[in-house]
This record gives sequence, structure tokens and C-alpha cells, in this order.
Amino acid sequence: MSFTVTPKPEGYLEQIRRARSQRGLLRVYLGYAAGTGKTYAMLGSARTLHAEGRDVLVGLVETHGREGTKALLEGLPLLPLKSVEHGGQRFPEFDLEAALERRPEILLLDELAHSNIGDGRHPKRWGDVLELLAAGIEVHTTLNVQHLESVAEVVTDITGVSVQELVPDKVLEEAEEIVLIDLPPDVLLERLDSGKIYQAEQARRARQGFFQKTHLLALRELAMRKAAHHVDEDARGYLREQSLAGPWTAGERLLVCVGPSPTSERLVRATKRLADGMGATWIALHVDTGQLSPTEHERVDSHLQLAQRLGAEVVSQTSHSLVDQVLDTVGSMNVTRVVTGRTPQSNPLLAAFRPSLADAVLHRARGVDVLVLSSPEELNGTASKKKRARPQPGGYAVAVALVGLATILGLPMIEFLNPAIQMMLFLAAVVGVAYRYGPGPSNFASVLSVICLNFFFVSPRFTLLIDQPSYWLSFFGLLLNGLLVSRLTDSVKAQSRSAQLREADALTLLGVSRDLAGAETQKDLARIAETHLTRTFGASVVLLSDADGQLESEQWLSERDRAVADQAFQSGQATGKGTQTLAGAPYQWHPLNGPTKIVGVAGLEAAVALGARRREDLLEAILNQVSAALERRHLAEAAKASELLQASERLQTALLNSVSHDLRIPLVSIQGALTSLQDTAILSDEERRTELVNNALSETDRLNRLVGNLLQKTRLDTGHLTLKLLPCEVEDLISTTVASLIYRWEQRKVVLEIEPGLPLVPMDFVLIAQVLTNLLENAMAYSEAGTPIGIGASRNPTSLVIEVLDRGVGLEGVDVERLFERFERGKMKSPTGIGLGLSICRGLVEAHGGEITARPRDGGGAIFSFTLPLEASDEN
Amino acid sequence: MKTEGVACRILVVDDEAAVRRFLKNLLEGDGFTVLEAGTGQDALTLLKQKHPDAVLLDLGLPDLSGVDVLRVMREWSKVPVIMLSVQDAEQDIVRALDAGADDYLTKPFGTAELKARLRSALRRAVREGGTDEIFSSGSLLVNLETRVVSVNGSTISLTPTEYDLLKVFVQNAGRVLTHIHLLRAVWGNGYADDIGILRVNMSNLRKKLEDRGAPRLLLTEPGVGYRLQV
Repeated sequence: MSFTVTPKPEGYLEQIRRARSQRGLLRVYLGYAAGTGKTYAMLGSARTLHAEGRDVLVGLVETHGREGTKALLEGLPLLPLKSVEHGGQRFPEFDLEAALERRPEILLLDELAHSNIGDGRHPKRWGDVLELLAAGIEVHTTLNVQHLESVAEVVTDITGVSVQELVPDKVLEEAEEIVLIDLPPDVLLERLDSGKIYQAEQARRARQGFFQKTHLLALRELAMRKAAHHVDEDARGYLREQSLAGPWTAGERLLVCVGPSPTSERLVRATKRLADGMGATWIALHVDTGQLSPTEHERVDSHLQLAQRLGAEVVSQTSHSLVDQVLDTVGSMNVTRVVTGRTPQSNPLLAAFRPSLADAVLHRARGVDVLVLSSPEELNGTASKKKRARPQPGGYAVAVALVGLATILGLPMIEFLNPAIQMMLFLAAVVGVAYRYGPGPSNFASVLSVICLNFFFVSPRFTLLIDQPSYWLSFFGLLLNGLLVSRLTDSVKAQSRSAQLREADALTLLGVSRDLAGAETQKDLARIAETHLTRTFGASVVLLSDADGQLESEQWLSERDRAVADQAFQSGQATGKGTQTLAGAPYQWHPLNGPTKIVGVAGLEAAVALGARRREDLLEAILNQVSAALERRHLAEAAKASELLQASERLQTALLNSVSHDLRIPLVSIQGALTSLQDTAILSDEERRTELVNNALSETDRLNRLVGNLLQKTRLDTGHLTLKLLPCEVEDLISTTVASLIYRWEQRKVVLEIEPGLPLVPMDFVLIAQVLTNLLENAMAYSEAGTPIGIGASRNPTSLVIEVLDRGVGLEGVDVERLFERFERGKMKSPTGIGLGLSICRGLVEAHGGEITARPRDGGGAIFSFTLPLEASDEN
Repeated sequence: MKTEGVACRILVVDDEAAVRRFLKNLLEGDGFTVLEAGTGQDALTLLKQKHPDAVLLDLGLPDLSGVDVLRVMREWSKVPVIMLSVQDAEQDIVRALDAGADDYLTKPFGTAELKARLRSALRRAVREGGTDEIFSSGSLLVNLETRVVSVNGSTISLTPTEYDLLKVFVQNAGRVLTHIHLLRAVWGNGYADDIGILRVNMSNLRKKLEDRGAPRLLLTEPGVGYRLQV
């Protein structure tokens, strides 16, 4: 039997769908024990969806060898499992990456509470599920009620079995649909006995442990309550959305005080249940009075993390007074109820002077209810003595020594000293002990002082008897003074300690901001931040800043660590060790939230950041400063880049001026020729007409080449040039190029010297033909019409050498190297081009892996030669 | 130019009105009738309605690419097509030729060149269906029936592959043949990438048929292929 408990008004459903259109839906098949048929029901429904043509994918399903379940699996598309190594063995595991890659519409993923094997992205499967939902994939999963964090303890109480794999309640709250899979316990037990759930041996053990009828009844009720609660929440949510009046109390807010005691964990869970029951929000507060040891800090942190997972708002404050801070928070956060554990006061005398938290809140905050929950130790009658945070065995020895000293100092003067003066000496000893060693030793010193005063100084001396009743009063006064003084010094010390801590934090922050202000470059800044973080937290810290939307790369960083850092950068959440995401990583990564965007990440060796909550706050403060500084630096560098851009724009302008000049000159001839053709006189003059037309034609050619060169240059400069390397015949190259130019230099003599037997050479025929064309045109432009132009082709061991030889003006006084730079020309003003030709030649030849050079020719003129590798190298 | 007493109809497809106007003036001055289309769709419509004798097709059109227009029309028309392209578009030209274009011209081009190519394409279309047994161009004479090749009257000895290659050129005289076209026609589909083998045979063929360093018959079309000059 199963029923879906989602009686939501359709409009509300629609509303949620719209609001969460980006997010996948979660459907949880909730059962109260193994074998109720969750997986079976999930597969059944998936088959229907699959048959309807929905894109269903089985991510992972545990069949537990059950035949019925196996049969249902047939025909459904399965995602291949990945194999994970753990402890030398290989286990099949759900492949999250593959699932995200495949992006099915609906993904089936059994056993929500499963702990992932190995160090995958999430330690728990529910982490995978949240990521899948965030990616917009609908997930169907199964869950047994005992794995819910808020009921785990109750389950342990009921069944005596401690539940290891826990799922935070907020994951279940994510669910759009909870399908309660119910089965009467009798039927379940029958199935167990007939071997349908476990193998025989396993079933027998289960029957004695978990699967007792009373247990099952209780678990069934829990499951039903959870499912019903979900409906309740939905309905309430709906009413709230609609701003309708409802049965809930507006703004009910609970506060639970969290300390290092193991009781705190129980308090947190209890508060979660209470808050759920009342539909209230809740706050977990920890007050750091500066008296906790590192291990206690760790425990507090784990309690606070639990609270956060259970949905609490977590607040951590530093103050010398627990009560004051609690009252403060109660006032500032509109808390309506305070939940606290009963703290058995070990010292009834002190109880009179230090009221319990519950009493203090009741007295000083009006309208606030206090719920005092009993601690299990007290219930069990095994209330353990509270241990001092810092046991000081030396303190008692010092107490004895100081009291002894006061006695010895007083003894010689007993004749002329008033016992009241002697009392002052003892009091001084007590204050001394209290100041250095805290209340325990100083209380001991007080008592010891009273005994010594009685024994040595009050008659009858050397007895503990007293003959004058007024001395009783003195003893009592001394004792009371001692106790009060020790209390007072203790409190003063605590205050000054917490003040010192705050001051140290402030000094650290001041130092950070002062040094950051002096940073010259972004590298400086990162280094300063790293130094400060390392000094403050005592372990290795690394900073990666944003470079064009990507994290900068660090050689030593492994690909894995880098992926974890990237995750923090992209998501804006802390990742890595000690967090919920990729907890297996050696570093904990914190995003650096600048004023407008995430500017990088900081990686800390994890234990540091988790040491204490106060340190985490400090860390956050430092990181905020670093982030702001980094972003400022980013902006400054962007400004600088825009300056560079302006410089390059100036160059562009120069180019443009030059180009527009060279574009207009040919147009002058062309326009001139065309307009003169309108003149009938010229039209009839055959000779002049031909000359004008030919001139216009050659100027068109010039224009065309100029445009071609500009395009090619742009391609080279912007890296858009792709070489199409194919084996080419050198003779073909040369003859084709010459043929394409021949109509323009019919009067020129071209001498070819091509070495016989040249191999095919890999090149981009079109581009090398252009190189050759440019060189030939230069040769023609810089030499007299009557002189011959030579083209040579030969080979050396590794490359082809092509030379263009002229008898022109030569290279005397020309900086050959600069000749190949943009906008450079030879000494005679070229009739064509703007000095782009040779720079393009160099670009093209170098792109082929060759070289281009120029040298003077014996007997006058110049030789321009370039080489091409005979074998195409890989990089080309 | 007249064929069978009726003016040849030329379809000019170019999105630049100035270019169309220039070509219209030029061609009408030579006795052709000119149809104009500014888009690929218009071109296809006109092709179906007016059955032009030749098409001048620009590669870059606003709606369809010239190559796409060519592919569509080649499904039902054998009309000769000359592609017009800008510089540095060798890859597009190769694709157009492989898709069935007859020839190409790079803008800007001379009018004489255009007219010569157009005439040549129209001649080939008229001759379509059978190649003459005897082909001659300049000093070259090829008899496809007797498989005798001679230059300046003296018989040349060719290897079977060289002869096959020359035969493909002769059968497509005047047309630009892409590397892939030649490789497929002579060596079969499996050799379509082996440009080296083509270069070596072209080089040998030229050595036997042409003056060294100044080919006049077998011309290289840089980045595209070869053409047998008529």
C-alpha cells in the first residue's frame, strides 16, 4: 500500500513549479524499515513514466538480490556505475559526473542516506542529490525514516540501534513529493521470515535487533508523522504565500544555547523538533567567554554545524558574560522562547550568587518563555563532576605556600599585631592565588587561611577551638571575603582575556589593512595576504585570484585541488576539508567576496579554520579586507589596461591616416581617367585614351593589393590565420606566381634558377605565393625597368631556400632588421604600399617555421631570401 | 552573343546593386539579356521561371550562401554557373566547384576575363553530351580514340596514370578542376586526400608537355586546383 501525500492546491503546485523552474523536483519514497517496498514502488512508477516517453535514467538501484525488484529494472536505461577504490578494494559507486553530463529528465537514485565511498565530491549521497536538483534534474530517491537527523536519536532510544548514516531534515524539506510506503508490521515480518528481505542468517539477527514488532510500530508512526508534517508544512507555506490568517503564531522564534557539553547536541536536536512542531524559526547561539580549550571549541563547532544542517540560524558571539549575551541576542533577534539544558550547580553556595541561565532569562527578559530540558546524565543519576577547563594542579601547592608564608610572616609579630591585620595578610595570599590560578585554588586558600588563623593566631592557640564567639564572625568574614575575591578576580580575568582577544583581533585586522594599502601590485597584495593569514592562523595559506573569469594557475597545485578551488570560486561557498562539499580535499577554500564580485579564493590547511569559531570570524574579516583590496587592484589594473588600449588606438589612428592617404592616391588617377573619358576630345585621341585607361587599371591593381595586404596583416595580428599545409611543387609555385604578375611587367626580364630534383615542400600555397609576389613587387619597385630580376630555389639539409635578386638601389644604410617591421620602407619611397608588404612576408614565413632575411648583392642590388622547412613540424 | 537566333539569358545573382548594374551594362552591351537577383531565393525562382543560359553567382548572399543556392539548383539544372568571390575565399571556391560550379572569378576582375570565361562556359554547355575525339590547344594535340598525345607534332610517351589525368583535363577543357575532383576521377575515392601523388604526376605531365618554368597549358589555380587552358 502506498499513497502520495501531496494534497496541494493546484495553483500552489503551479506556483512552486514556476518559482523552481530552474531546479529539479525531488520525490522521496519514505519508508519505516528495509523491505517495505520503497525501491519497488519507485521502479514501478519510473516504468510508467518511461513508457510515457519521459527520459528516465537509473542512476543506482540496490536490488538486494530481490527478484521482483530486478525484474522491474529490466528495460529501464541504466547509468554505468563507476568503480571506486577504497582500502585496496573496488566498489561500484554512483557516477555523479556522468549523470550531470547525461542530463536525464528524471534520475532514480536509491538510498538517500548512503555514505559515498572514496573521496568523491560529496561525502554523502544527499549531497549528490542536491547538486543534481540544482542542475535541474528531477530526482526520485528512497529513504528510511530512521536516517533523518532529527529523529535519529529517538530511533536510537526506541530500538537501541545507533544510526550511522544521517540525512539532514532540510533535504527532506526540499522534496516536492513524499510518497509514504506503508506496510503493516505483521506483513513486513512475514516477508522477513520468508526470506524476501534478508538472507536467512541476516534475517534471524534482524529479528532479534531492529525488526521487533514494537520497534516497527514506533518507526511506522514516526514515518507517518514525518509525512503528515510535510503536508502540514506545505499547507502552511501556501497559507503564508496567500497572506491568509492561519493557526500559527506569527514570528515564533526559538533560541538554543550551545556549549561544548555533549548535552548540547541533544538540545539542538530537541530544539529542531520543537521548532518544527511549532512551525517556528530557530537560532543556535554560542557565547565564547574565552574559557574554552581547543578541543572544546571543536565540539562547539560541530554542534553549531549540526544546528546549521538542521536549519538553524547560527550565531556566535564573544562576551565575558553568557547571560548578558543571551539576553542581548534574545532582544535583538525577537526570540520568543529560550531552550536551555539544566546545568546542575555543583556548588550550592555559588548557586546563590550565580543564578542559572534559565532563571536569569526568566527574571530579566519579559515575555520570553524558557524551556529547560533535562540532561541525560542527570536522568541516569550519573551526573559527572564538571571538569575545570584548565586544571591547575600547581595552584593548590602555591595556595599552601602563600598561606604558609602569610602564617610565617605573622607568627613573630603575634604579640603586637591585631588578628585583624593578620587576616589582611591571609586575604592578600588568597587574592594572589585567585589572580594567578583561578577559583579552585583560591577557594582552597580561603579555607586554609581560616584554619591557619584559628590554629596559629587565635587563642587557645594550636587548637581549632575558639574561646571568643566574636572570632566566629571574623572567620566567616575571612572566608566570605576570600570566596568573593576569588570570584571577582576570575571574572575580571575572563573579561580582560576576552578584551585581549578582541584587541589582538583588531590589531591583526589593522595590520592587514595597513599592509594591504601599501601593496603595489596584485602579486604583492596576494603575498601580503598570505603572510598575514599564515602568521595569524599558523599554517600554510594560498591565495588564487581571478584572472579574466578564471582562477590564476599555480604550478604546484594538483588538478584535484584546483577543481575544489574552482568550485568555491564558482559557487561562492566554502569548499574542501571540513565543509559539505568535497570534504576529502587537503585544503579548505574560501571565496573572496569583493564588493561587486568574487575576486578569488583563499585556501587554508583545514584544521586552522576549524579551530575555533572566533577565529573563523576573524578569518572572515581578514578575507573581506583582502577581497576588497583585490577588487580595488583589479579595477586599477583594468584602468591601466584601458590606457594601453588607448595607446594601441593611437597606433591604429596612425595606420588609418597612412592607409587613407594610400587609398586616395590611386583613386585620384582612376577618377581622373574616368572623368576625362567623358571628354569627347580625349575619347577620340586613341593614344591618350589608352594611356589614361592603362594608368587607371594599374592604380586599381595597387588599390586591390593594398586592401589584400591590410586584410592579411589583420589576420596575422589577430591570430586568425590558419595554415593549410599541403605538399607543393616549388617550380609550380614560382611559375604560377610569375605568371600572375607577368601582365604587369611584360618589359621585365625574369631569370629562374631552380635546382633540379627539389622535393615537394609542405606549405600553404596561396600564402607563400603571396610572399613571393610581395618580394617580386618590391624588387620591381626598387630597381630600374631595364634590369633583370632573378628568382632562385635551392635546398639545404633541412629547408628550402627561395631567393629574389635585383639590381636595384640596394640596402646600403638600411637597418635590415627594421625593414621587416610594420610601416618601414626602404630609402626610396615606394610607389606602392605603406610598408606592410615585408612585415606580412615575415609573418607568413615565420608562421611556416621559416626565416626571412635580406642582404646586399655583390655587384649592386639586394637579395631577399626566405626558407621553408622541408618537413612539416608538429607545431605547424 | 547569339545562339540559335535568340539572345542568351544570363542570370546575375549579387546582393550589391552596383555590381549588378555594372554587369548588366557590360553584358547587355555584348548582346546578352540580363536577369537580376539580389537574394538566393529570388535567384532560384528566376531559374525556374526563366531558364537562363548561364548564371553569375556571388558567393556571399544575404539569405543563403552561394554554395547552398548552387546545391539546390544542381538538383534539377545543369545550367553553367560561374561563381564570383572575394579574395582569399579559396575554401569556399573549392566547395562551390565540388558542388557543381563550372568556373570562378575573384573580385575585382577585368571585363575581358569575365567575357572570356562566360563564352567558354556557354560553349561547353552547347557541346555537352560528347567530347570531341580530337582535342587541340596550342602545341598540344590529344586523340582520345587512339590515345596518342603529341606536342609540336612529336608523339609524347605518357604513363597510364599521366594519360588518365590528361584525359580528365581534356574532357573538362577550360574548367577549373579541384584537387579532390582530379584525385577521385583518376585514382578513385580512396585517394581523395593524397595531394602529393597528384602534384608528382602534374609535375611529370608538365615536364613532358610544357616549357620549363612557364606553363601555358596546365595552369595552377592557387589553393583551388588546375585548369587546362583552351
